[in-house]
Amino acid sequence: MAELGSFVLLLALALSGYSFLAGLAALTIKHPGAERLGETARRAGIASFGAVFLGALVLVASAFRNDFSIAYILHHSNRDLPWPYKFATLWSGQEGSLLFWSLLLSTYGLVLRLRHKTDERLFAHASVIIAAVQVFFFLLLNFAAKPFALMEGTIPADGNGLTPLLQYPEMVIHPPMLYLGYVGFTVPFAFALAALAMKYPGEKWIHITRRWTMVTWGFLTCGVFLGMHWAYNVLGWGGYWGWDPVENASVMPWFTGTAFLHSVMMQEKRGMLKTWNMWLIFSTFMLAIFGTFLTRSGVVNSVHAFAQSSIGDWFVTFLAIILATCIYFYWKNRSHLRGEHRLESLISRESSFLFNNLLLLLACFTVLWGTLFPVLSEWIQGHKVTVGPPFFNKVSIPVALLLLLLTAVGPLLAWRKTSFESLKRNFLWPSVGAVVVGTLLIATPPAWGDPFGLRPWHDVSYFYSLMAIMLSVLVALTVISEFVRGGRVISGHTGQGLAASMLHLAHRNTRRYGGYVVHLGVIIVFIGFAGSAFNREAEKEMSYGDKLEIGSYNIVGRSYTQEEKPNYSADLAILQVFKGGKQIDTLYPESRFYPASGEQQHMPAVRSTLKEDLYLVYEGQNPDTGRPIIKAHLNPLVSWIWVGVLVMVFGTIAALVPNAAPVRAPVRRSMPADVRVRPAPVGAGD
Amino acid sequence: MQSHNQSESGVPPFSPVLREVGSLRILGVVLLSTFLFLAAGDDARVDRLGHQVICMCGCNQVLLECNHLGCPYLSRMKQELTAAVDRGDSDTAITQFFVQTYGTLVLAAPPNRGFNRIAWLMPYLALLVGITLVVFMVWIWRKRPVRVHASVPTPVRGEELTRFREQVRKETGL
Repeated sequence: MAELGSFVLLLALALSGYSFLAGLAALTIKHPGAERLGETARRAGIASFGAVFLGALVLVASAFRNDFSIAYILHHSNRDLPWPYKFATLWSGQEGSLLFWSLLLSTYGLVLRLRHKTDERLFAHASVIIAAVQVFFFLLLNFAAKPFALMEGTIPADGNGLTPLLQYPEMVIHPPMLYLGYVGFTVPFAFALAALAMKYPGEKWIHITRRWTMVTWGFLTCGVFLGMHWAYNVLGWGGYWGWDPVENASVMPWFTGTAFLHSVMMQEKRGMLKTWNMWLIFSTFMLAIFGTFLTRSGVVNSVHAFAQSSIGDWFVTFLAIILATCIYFYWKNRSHLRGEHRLESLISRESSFLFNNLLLLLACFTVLWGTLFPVLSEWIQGHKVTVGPPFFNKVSIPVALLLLLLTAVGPLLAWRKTSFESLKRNFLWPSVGAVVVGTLLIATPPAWGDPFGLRPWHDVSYFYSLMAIMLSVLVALTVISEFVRGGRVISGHTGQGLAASMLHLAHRNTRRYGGYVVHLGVIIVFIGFAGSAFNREAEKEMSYGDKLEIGSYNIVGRSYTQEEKPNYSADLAILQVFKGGKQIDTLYPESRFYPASGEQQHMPAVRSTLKEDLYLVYEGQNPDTGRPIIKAHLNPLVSWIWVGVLVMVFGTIAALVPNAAPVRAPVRRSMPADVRVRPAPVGAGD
Repeated sequence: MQSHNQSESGVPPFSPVLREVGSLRILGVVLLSTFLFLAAGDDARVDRLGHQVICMCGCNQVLLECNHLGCPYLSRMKQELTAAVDRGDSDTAITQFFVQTYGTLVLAAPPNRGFNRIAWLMPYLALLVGITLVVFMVWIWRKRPVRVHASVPTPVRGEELTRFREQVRKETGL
């Protein structure tokens, strides 16, 4: 099996190398046979997918067959590992995850190469660029991080097992989602570089890549939030985001990708920001590669990082080559990226996009800066410093709130120019609504539970929470007013009811209204984040019948028991949860021991409602007293985060639906044959 | 978002009944309230300072959030923190103690002095540079020549009309 795996990876390298070289030659030489040569390059690219798919299949089959002669399988699997995790072995370690990355890249390449009829020349250029990226990853797999390397000496009877932290259902889908996001940005990058290299006329390449970019962004969003959900439910510290370098690495391309999705509209609608968009997509791809480098090189300390290895040098070299290539083509063809229009007013959709981009890039830079500052400190001061949550929270939260404000303001500004009257008309009632909600939050009694009875003057985190909730209300009301306003226009034309008209409206411009739904998802997520200011925790040694009080809950220790599973043994606490004197639930936090890896792990028990999460952790026994220790967290509004993500995903899917045909207004008989153009048209646009 | 944990202890409010009992009892209630208030204050300090240092077991987690089973540092560091707060040491003295004992890595964020001040300044500097760039771009764009509209609207026909319709469609999405 190992020989077959190694062979197909070598074959994949040869095929992608041919696809790159032959494709490049076909595009550069002027020869009658160039077209046929290009076709062979395309087919070699398709075949490289087959080879790497077979390689991945061999690795997964080896995990199922418990083939511990393969070092990777020995280190990341064991006989008793449940089958879904045997499947997940593919992306659980350094070498396997690189193979998985290559598989996804080749899958994207396959789809691109099969759809080449859309625009053969542009797709041929993009295919060559993807082949170049494939070559890099196949070189890694064949020479630096070999997934089929064999064990030397005696082969152990059983493997070391999968890291306990990864033995959780979400780990079967979180990495694929994240990787689909990371790897997917290769496609818009390839199209952008191809369009620049061949001086592709017009904005058609953006139309072609729009869906690729949105799908990729959707996957990355899912990946990041699934990671948060996994951290919340598995790591057992009661939080979902710890500003760990690996977490930071996943969110950096998300920031630039989000900036691109917004600013690309300026290029489509107004022919502006061409250079900016080109570099945004270049940066997003480079940040995805940089994130991979961070998690694999050992440059920064992280609990999520893969084992330290020498492949960091490969990534640095690759990044340098990408940067040099981008600079070369930009410098050579920069005249092609000249803007077509000028900015007419600071109060316009265009300027809101500029500030949106500024804030998203600032957020990205802050995260990058904080992540790399320990390395810089070691280089300059000779010692590392820790840059943890206090730094990131202090610097990022104001930026996030400003972004939220722009999310409210931006969509209601017209392209080119917005009048003060229009601003007043659009924002008066949403602003009143936001202020009313803020006042209610302050005026209501604290006894209603968090976040009611909020006292923003007591702590800056309360102030931030109040702002987040008020701005979220502002965004929600502006989005709803947009739907209602548009719905009324359609209703006036067609005579349909308002709800049907709004649905019709959304279907006519799915990208715009899907985007609004994504914004609604974002604000729901922000309300969830705002709840963290009110988190509480309590810890107690609890024997049978002991009580622990937190918020309005009473937790009573009922019993402790043990459980034997094929892959681990667990100590369970059986805890009854009372509220208002009535038992409402029984929770079973666990402390697990995995004999294969010799590691222990908490498995918290969570009672989740829209209002708050009761999160219980069995921390083991006090070594002095032998009494079990229970830690309880009360985390308000956490569920809103997961609901918000679902709304974001729904909005992304809605934005991908093709537009319905526009409704034709009845032609007025008196309409003259010619139309008089009036200067300075103003109106809400996309 | 920053997590601030609140104390579970609560001080009952004074009721009108208390006015009618003897002064000794009032004093007792005042002393008890003061004690509870100070105890709550200590808890809050432990909580705040416990979120400013990280656990040195290598988990990279904030001290009060480290949940590793059998962590060799957690209980020791927590005891050191609680003892220092009980002694009434100042915040600076407590963080200094941790730095002297465990090195600068123990601080969850770089101290705002010396070279480390750059860590805090850079994001604001980036914001400043960004705003300058945006203003510069706007200035450049506004300098670009524009086609001047005739004072009297002129009729539009044929291809030009189609072009305008397409532009309106693009810009309004309707």
